Amino acid sequence: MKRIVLERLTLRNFKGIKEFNVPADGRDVDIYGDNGTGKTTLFDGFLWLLFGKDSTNSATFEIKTLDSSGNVFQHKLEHEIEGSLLIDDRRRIFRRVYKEDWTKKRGAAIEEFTGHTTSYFIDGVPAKAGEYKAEVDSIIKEDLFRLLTSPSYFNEQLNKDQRRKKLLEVCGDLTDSEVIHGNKELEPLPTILAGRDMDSHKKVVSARLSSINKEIKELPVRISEVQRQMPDVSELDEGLLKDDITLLRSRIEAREAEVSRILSGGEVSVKEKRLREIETEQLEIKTRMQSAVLDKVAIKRDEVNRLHQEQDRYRRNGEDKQQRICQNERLAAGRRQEVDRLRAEFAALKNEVFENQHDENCPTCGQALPVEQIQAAHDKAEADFNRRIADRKERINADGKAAVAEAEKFEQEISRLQGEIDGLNDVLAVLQTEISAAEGELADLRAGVKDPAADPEYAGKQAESSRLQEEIRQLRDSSQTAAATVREEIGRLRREVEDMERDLVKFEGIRRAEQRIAELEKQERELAGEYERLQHELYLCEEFTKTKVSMLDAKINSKFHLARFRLFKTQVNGGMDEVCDTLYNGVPYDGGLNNAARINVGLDIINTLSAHYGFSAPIFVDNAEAVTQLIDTDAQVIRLVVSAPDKQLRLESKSIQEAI
Amino acid sequence: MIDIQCLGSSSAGNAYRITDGRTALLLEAGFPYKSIQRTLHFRMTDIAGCLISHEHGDHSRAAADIMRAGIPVYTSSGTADALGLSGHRLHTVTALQPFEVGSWTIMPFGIEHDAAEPLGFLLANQDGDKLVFLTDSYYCRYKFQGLTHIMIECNYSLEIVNRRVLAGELHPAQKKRLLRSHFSLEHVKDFLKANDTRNVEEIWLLHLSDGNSDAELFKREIQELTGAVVRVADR
Repeated sequence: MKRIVLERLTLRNFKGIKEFNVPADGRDVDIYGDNGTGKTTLFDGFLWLLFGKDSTNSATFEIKTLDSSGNVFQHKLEHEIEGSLLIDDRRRIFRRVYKEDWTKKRGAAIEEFTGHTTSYFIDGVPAKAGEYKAEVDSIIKEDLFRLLTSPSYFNEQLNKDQRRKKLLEVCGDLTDSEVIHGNKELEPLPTILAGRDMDSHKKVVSARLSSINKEIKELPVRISEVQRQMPDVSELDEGLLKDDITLLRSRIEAREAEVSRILSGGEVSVKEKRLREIETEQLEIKTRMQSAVLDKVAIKRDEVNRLHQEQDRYRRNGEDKQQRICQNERLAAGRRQEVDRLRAEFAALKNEVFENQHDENCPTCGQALPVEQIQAAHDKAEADFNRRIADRKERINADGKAAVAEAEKFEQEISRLQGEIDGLNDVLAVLQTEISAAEGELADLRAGVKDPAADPEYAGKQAESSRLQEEIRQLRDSSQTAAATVREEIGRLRREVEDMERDLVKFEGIRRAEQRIAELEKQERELAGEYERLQHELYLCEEFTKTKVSMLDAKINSKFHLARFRLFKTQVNGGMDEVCDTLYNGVPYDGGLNNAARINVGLDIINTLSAHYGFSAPIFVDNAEAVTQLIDTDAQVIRLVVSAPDKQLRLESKSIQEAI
Repeated sequence: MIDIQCLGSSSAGNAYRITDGRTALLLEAGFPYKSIQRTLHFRMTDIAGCLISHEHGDHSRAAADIMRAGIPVYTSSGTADALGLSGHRLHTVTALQPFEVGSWTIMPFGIEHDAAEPLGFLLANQDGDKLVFLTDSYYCRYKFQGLTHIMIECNYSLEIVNRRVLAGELHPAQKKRLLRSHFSLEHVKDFLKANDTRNVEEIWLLHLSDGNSDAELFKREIQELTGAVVRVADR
């Protein structure tokens, strides 16, 4: 145990004390004085000497003595404290001097204030500030010194974390694994923490919890938003809609084809083609209706034709024969004329008389020819003449006979041909009768052929044909108008399809909304899962803390006689708050504990801390009048007692009393 | 194989976790959410759905929190209205209209209790287990076939109640209310006699009254009656 005791403390010009000496000489000292006489100043002075700060841990307090209006009472004073400490019986004298600097500048009439200087002395030897501080530190650290010299310091100057730290330092902390070993439920904790310290983990978890909580609160709002935005399809049927759309689309396609047909004239050609088809169809109908009768008509007509041809043939035959009759008549007449001419010629021959008219002169020499000669010649000529007549009569007879024979032959042929013609005429008369009969029959048959116009199918075709013809005409007239009409219909159909598609899209919207809701619900579920996991972690942390509390409580409290500590406080929501409340008989230090108990609890803490750190230092007990019985302590105790009668500080120490 | 875990069964709170190894359900949520969570070791996410019989706090306390945790709640619309429940996790069910949750097919049925629209539940799963859950009713008008598990309220014994009324420990008005709102040992016996209990593996006696019951006696009597495993739900 390192023991520091105060041998002597001397104050000069310090916070209103002109000069005061505490000759403690290592013993307990009681210092009496009325309020404002400077008791606390003694402690301030002691701390300032060592650390340059007062008892409230301030380095900027006013050291100089001030007058009643707050101005410095007297300048150019040296403010100093000197303390003589026995450290394990070795004397060390520390001295700190604070003074104003006044400099007289060259040529100036008066000195001028230029600042302050602090001077340090160790064992009478001047030292630099750093050396001085190092020397003090080597004896005792400031915070520890403060802790051990003031009963209120632990409870009033340290915050809860510092207090906890000190207590755990003193009692020896429990390692996390010790705590976890002490409670089976905590086994997952090291994995969860993964090396992080519990407090920061708790902070992370809490932050995440509150953000999840916010998200979870928003999710039902988002889900109901999606639900609200779902389209209404209560009166729609998806399958029917799809069918209707397909149907309308095919109609649109047909109409579009129609438009292009109309515009390219195709419609007209289609109609014309149809027209031709109708004609064929009508013909078919007609044929179907008339074929039987017409067959008979044809046969009859053939027969009539054949009869006519036969008639012609006979007629031509007759005509040929008639021609031959004419020719024969002409030939016969020719022969008869020849006969007549020959007859005339013969008759003429009878009248012919021989006339000698022959020349009596020689043709060559012209000399008259002898008469004999002329007779001879005459006779000869007459003979010749007679013979010639005879010849000619003979020839005319022969020719006449031949001509008569020929004429008769022609006349015979004529009568034969005439006979044949009569025969032909008879045949012709028969044929004519036959023809008349056949033609009558043909006329009858023709009259029996039905008029196809009376047939309804045929009439229908006829009507369609006229309609088509009219349409073709109209189309030709107004293909643009027709196209426009069809386009209008297409537009109407398209609008209908659009309406239906809009309705169809609603189903898609519903599916999307449902999917979105499922996603959100999944998200909610996941968040809830994470929330719960974090809650579990938090719960384990708290459980850890609780376990640690109960394990620590006993350990800590056994170290103190009076003081008890509450390290954890259960919150209303069941959570645990780390605190460090000092209790005495169950009363919290800053929650109604009286002054006397506060001081004694402070001393108790100092005793335990001293024992732990192996260190004792003089304890300044302010307001010591409040305590009738200070608890025992090994350290030197300097009691500062309020005493109204003592207008000046008055010292009492055991030895002095003993001396008295 | 159905596993039944009792989280609490008394007027202080009722909740049971049942699972067939595939789908875990919570029957009733009559404790603060945190305590249910703690009892289930923070495994609420395993719960596929929560069935609530009626609106009384000892059966429904955590309903809203359970929905907030993303777990669907199944209850009658009367109960939901009385509890002011709404939202996408609320599934209102109607007596005698079966519904499915995971591997369970559940048939709610009306019961007799002083509540808005109280329900009991008949649960069947794919393994052929059939469980009836019947609590806070003074009468059950249905009979069940092929039950394997019965969870039934056994609140008081009329004998004990009468004895206590005579001894002045119980006000006759309390007795009257008791008789009109809860199932007695005698009712349980009648119920078990009326139903086919040959296949019953386990009978849980629920919601035993503090003063008006005797766990040992109840268990013995039901064992003697059915020969089934009888378990008295812990409070």
